[in-house]
Amino acid sequence: MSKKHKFLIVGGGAGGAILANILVANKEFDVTLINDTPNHYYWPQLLQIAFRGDYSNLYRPLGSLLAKGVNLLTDRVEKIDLGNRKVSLKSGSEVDYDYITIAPGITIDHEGIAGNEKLVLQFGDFYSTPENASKVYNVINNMNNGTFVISVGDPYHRCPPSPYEGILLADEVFRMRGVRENVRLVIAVPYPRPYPAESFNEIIEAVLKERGIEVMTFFTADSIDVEKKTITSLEGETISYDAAIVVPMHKGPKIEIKPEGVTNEDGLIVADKFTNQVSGYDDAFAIGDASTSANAKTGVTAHLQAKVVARRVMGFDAKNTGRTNCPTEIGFEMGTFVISDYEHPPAKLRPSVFNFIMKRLFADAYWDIVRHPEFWDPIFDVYFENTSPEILWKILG
Amino acid sequence: MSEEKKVIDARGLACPGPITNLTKAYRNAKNGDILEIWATDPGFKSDIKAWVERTKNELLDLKEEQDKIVAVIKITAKK
Repeated sequence: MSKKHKFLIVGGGAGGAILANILVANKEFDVTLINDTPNHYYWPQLLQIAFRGDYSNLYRPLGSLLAKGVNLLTDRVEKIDLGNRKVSLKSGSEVDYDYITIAPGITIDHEGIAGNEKLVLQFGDFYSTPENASKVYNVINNMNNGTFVISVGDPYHRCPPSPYEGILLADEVFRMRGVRENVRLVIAVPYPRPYPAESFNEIIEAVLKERGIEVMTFFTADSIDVEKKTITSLEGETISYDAAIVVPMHKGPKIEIKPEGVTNEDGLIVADKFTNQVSGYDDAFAIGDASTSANAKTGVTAHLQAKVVARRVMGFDAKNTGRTNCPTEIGFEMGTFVISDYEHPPAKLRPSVFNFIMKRLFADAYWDIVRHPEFWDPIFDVYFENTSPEILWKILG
Repeated sequence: MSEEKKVIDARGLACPGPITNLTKAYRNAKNGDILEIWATDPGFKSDIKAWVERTKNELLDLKEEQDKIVAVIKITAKK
């Protein structure tokens, strides 16, 4: 019997865990997954905590999401040496590998925008921790008048539609509380239009207008003065707030990766957008939020990339299509999806109750999707094929 | 520190990918720096004109080459 390939996965988020569960079913691979916490977090739940006070779906023990046969190490990866195929851990031990996939997710950097550390202490956010999301819930449930602002500081943040979901769910809460007419809602974005992609902007801009939400374009949050309660943009404008959330800077993982040059200026791992292969290394891949190959920082992207990596190491010429499938909740039990790929901008999928239900179904099924790719992937293959951007553009125009 | 010239290769990115990449570079730029952006998205030309107008920086050149649109910006309005 030939020797098994040692396949090491750094990071047990959606991409890492799904990849482990796919690969372990193949007898060619001895799969080890290293994660720095014993739990796996479902980050979209931060939005539900912030605006609904719903903590139900936040995390599960990572071990319960991994198939039998996956070796799980709970430890912090401190160094990855691609040249010598060696990973150094905080505990002092070293792990070698034949293949590696780097999927540790991003690091939230509040300090990257001056004043954001103080701002998040006051008003929280829905990008960093459950505690900060909980602060948002307290703010919007106690604010009775004034200006509430969501301002994007880093355009490459997790979950592209999330700032819009945030301001629209805030609108829902203020309306339900009967104070909406006393609260001015503003979303400030770095783009030339409310939503970055022109096609999907047609959908979102109409919703924001209908709900009376003000938009500031070409406004990239650069500094915050918590005494004066103002946010100043890179572009030179200033907005006043009574409560505000600034989408923080997203940086690469706090892991030393050798050789230098495989990470970009933000610390993200530079990987091919089709194969996820780290430049210059046919035994190394990077997927998910920490990889430049992810065109959207979402669990769906990491999931699809995991499938591509698995198929490539099994000898198939699989490639990322750049498919996105970002559920976008707009409040009042309505939702839509941002569906695009490398060849097609987002389709103009209008909000509906059905899309809201689909979002909730995906969220409720999430843990089983991670644990059982052998069951869910054939279903998703059919879903993705029949909701491809190409088809949606033909139907929706 | 002396002025720098930086090329931002945003070819293959759909709108507003080029503007998003420009925003990232603008955060680290200083007055006097030159930013040259390469893009293939046709919407980039109107977006970059609007960005320059809003930010009060200087558009030195905007041209269509065989395989790309090139915009050259001098940073003059950084606070």
